[in-house]
Amino acid sequence: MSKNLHSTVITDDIKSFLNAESEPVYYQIERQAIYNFSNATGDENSLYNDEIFARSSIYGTLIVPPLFIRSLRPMKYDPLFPEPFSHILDAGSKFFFIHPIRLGDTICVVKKLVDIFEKDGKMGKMLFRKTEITFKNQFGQVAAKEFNTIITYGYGEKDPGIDDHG
Amino acid sequence: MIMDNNLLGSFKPKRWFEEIKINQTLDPVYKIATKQQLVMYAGASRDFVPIHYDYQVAQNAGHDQVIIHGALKTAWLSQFVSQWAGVNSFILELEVQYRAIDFPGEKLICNGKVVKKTLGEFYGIVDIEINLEKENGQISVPGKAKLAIPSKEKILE
Repeated sequence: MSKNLHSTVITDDIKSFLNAESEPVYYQIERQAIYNFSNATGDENSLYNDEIFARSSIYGTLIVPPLFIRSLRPMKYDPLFPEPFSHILDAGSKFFFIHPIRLGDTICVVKKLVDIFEKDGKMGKMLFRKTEITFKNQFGQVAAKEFNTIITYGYGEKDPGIDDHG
Repeated sequence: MIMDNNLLGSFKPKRWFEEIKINQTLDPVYKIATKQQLVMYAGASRDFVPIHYDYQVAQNAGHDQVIIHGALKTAWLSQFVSQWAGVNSFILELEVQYRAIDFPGEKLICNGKVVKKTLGEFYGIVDIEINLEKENGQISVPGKAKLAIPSKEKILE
């Protein structure tokens, strides 16, 4: 079936997800998770790897590397976002780091769909989704925020894992 | 990042705000991912989209091999500026765009240039243009980082 480039893929169902929020999910920040993340990224910074060193720092204990927050995945929307396309690309992110995240903290993660728009490109119609992800600590302070843009496009067999993003 | 103004921990700053110059470039850092690293990163970041570890899925998407996670490339860039600035500094903001796909085995270069300096309430604030570049000069990940860096004027006042 051919798809008309002039038609919109942003249905009322999709529009209804604008400003939708995921259910909060809570993560305890564990020592081994920090080590595993810094090891996987090849980051030898002592603030993430050496607890004795980190105790003498301004933080008083181990902290997490900036991109560690990507491992604190928000819940999927319930019901699931009605994804019209099959393929997914991560277009980029803007991060704000406001309070350090320390070993032992409990971080609450919520995502919110803040913008949806479409564009025509080389790969046909593309759907852009901008998501605001908020990471709050156990004191209710916003520790970090990420604004992430996901592009989906194309038809056919869905990319495995397409529902795990955005 | 909100911090007290009177704490430096036990460490002498690697870099003072006052010693940093506009247009100063950061020494480049080279990165080469292995497939094993992508699997380790998938586990550590809980990003299990299979195009990053399943050859068949990557091939079906038109690639010769699995592709590097965008966020791993961003982690490298955050590491690059953090390492340059030292443990008494911290990243306030980080912005990246993923413009190209990169593969394990490719030599990628982290670059940075100081573009702005302002004195904040407790720290010096330094804006750095960053990018991850392929060996052929193509910019794969352009971006910006805003760092808080200890200021003699603020800390020793």
